[in-house]
Amino acid sequence: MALSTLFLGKRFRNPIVLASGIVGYGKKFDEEVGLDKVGGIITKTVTALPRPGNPLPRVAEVDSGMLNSIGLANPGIDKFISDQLPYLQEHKTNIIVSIAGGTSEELVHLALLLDNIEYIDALELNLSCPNVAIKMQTSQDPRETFRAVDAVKAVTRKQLIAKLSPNVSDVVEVARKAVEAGADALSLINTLGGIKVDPVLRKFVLGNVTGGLSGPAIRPVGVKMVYDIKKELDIPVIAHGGIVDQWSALEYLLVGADLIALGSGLFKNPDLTEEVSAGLEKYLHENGATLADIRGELL
Amino acid sequence: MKKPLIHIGKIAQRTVFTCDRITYILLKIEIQGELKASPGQFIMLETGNDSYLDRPFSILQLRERELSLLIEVKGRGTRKLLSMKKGDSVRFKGIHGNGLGPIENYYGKKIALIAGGMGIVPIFHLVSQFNITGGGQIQLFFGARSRSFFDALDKHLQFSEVLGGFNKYLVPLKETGKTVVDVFREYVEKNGAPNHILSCGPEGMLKSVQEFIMETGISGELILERRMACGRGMCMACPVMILDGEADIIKMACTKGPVFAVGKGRKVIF
Ligand SMILES: Cc1cc2nc3c(=O)[nH]c(=O)nc-3n(C[C@H](O)[C@H](O)[C@H](O)COP(=O)(O)OP(=O)(O)OC[C@H]3O[C@@H](n4cnc5c(N)ncnc54)[C@H](O)[C@@H]3O)c2cc1C
Ligand SMILES: Cc1cc2nc3c(=O)[nH]c(=O)nc-3n(C[C@H](O)[C@H](O)[C@H](O)COP(=O)(O)O)c2cc1C
Ligand code: FES
Repeated sequence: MALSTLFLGKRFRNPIVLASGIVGYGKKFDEEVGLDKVGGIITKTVTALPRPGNPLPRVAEVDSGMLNSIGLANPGIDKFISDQLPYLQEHKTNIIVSIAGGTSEELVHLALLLDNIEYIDALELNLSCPNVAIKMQTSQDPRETFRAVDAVKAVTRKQLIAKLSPNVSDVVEVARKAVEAGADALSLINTLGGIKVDPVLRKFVLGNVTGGLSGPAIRPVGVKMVYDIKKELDIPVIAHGGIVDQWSALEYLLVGADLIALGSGLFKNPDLTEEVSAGLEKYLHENGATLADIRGELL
Repeated sequence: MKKPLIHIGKIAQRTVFTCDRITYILLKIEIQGELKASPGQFIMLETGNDSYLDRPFSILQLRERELSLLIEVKGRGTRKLLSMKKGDSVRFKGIHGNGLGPIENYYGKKIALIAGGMGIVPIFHLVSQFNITGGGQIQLFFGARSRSFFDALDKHLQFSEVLGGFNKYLVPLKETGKTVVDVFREYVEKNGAPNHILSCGPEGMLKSVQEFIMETGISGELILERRMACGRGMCMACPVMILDGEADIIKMACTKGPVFAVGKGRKVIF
């Protein structure tokens, strides 16, 4: 009970959500842990057409984290709606569907298809997806960010969350544009661009050469970006990046995160959800505090 | 009740040996509770507290309370395993993957088992389950860099004993200049093709085995390796592309593999 959280007008059982791309569409996680253990799930990013994803290998371990270059592998919106989404309907958890597109038109198309599905609680715009055409992620450019959020906001009745890239010089500026365009909340951070070289083979480790860094290595970056945004803007934030226990979750909560997203830490530790929720409850109990007391305490 | 995913074991025996300048670790892990696995299935092993990802390893043997693994030291994860000692506790997840069907499926058929290098691990698991007299129709073709690998397996795994009842062709590349697939093809010329092939090893070898399967129209099973992150079908790191008739299918090696049926118009795209 102590962890119950109100976010975008919806009740979340706890402030824990599953980050996009980590548990696919949730079925396996449900069997292992139970979707009823989390406040919500953000589904693997879906695009208009199926995407096979990037060349192999797609993952590599690095110091304090990992690189991935999955490449938004997904079955496309039609198969997602017919084959994957119905499973989630039966579960009493909040459902956030992540979408990405190369153009605003594609995003609008996706948003329209999802708009009539009542049990979807919110959409997350993955603006940090690799855009091959302009070699840039939408959320690296404040104007592109505005355009994408604005276009989707105009057609959807769903709450809209913009997921931002950390690969920018001024994340607050991008965040401000997303908010101006009507984003109801922000998700950050997505992965940081990175490369791993195998010096023995003298080759790049990932098939795609570059990948995205996640894990504890990026947590200080994530905490700073959440902190910077929360100081400047009045907008709910879902914090991502290197959460591997209740202490890392608390770092984000103390700088104002509204929800915290579990990411690649779940790969090695399937018990992470329960550890974080039990850990947070214990912390609050021992400190005689409520979630509201500590949230944003350091702002 | 959900099945526990994380298992904790204790290292009962740890043997390190080197062949052709490659280091191998034979780990025997004492486990709590009962685990069941079919050959081809694998576990995700934690290679230390500071490792962010687990590493997949095939099961070499699983009997009563003991799980055995044979590990080639390659990079940052497997190197850390070198410092583990007898009595240390280890954590692993699993049992993962699809594995082979029941052993009885193979009885009475003419079967070729083709293994290359570390590809012997799941094949060894399979073979050590056969009741020896049932093995008459089974030929094992096993290739390695050099004879020293066979000698090491003999010494540490009682390899010859386990394989006592089988017809086997050991193919050390260094000494014979031949690959295991060369020797297999020579065998087929003299004795005819098997009905079924089961193969595990480097991708180049699996590719030529698949070519043979396609040429002759027999059936086969290939055990594939992929880099993995979650090991349980969630992250999309480990796809295998399959051409089934006209259709391209993508399957994740960790859940829909690592054993893949091929033949009769169905093949893995390498
Ligand atoms: C289902 C399955 C079963 C396996 N069974 C065994 C086994 O019984 N014994 C054994 O020694 N190895 C096995 N492997 C391979 C083993 O997982 C890798 O060798 C190991 O993960 C390397 O870890 P590392 O940290 O030492 O290497 P890293 O530092 O991560 O990489 C070093 C090199 O190892 C290779 N490598 C890394 N990960 C894999 C991988 N998942 N598959 C293949 N090559 C990889 C790459 O070429 C890389 O350049 C299996 C792999 C799979 C997918
Ligand atoms: C394997 C993998 C796949 C991912 N796929 C997506 C995706 O499809 N869409 C998305 O918005 N973020 C994706 N992410 C990013 C995560 O949602 C998260 O923002 C990031 O990993 C940082 O959190 P972490 O450090 O806890 O992993 C992916 C991350 C990983 C590791
Ligand atoms: S390793 Fe994650 S899907 Fe196979």
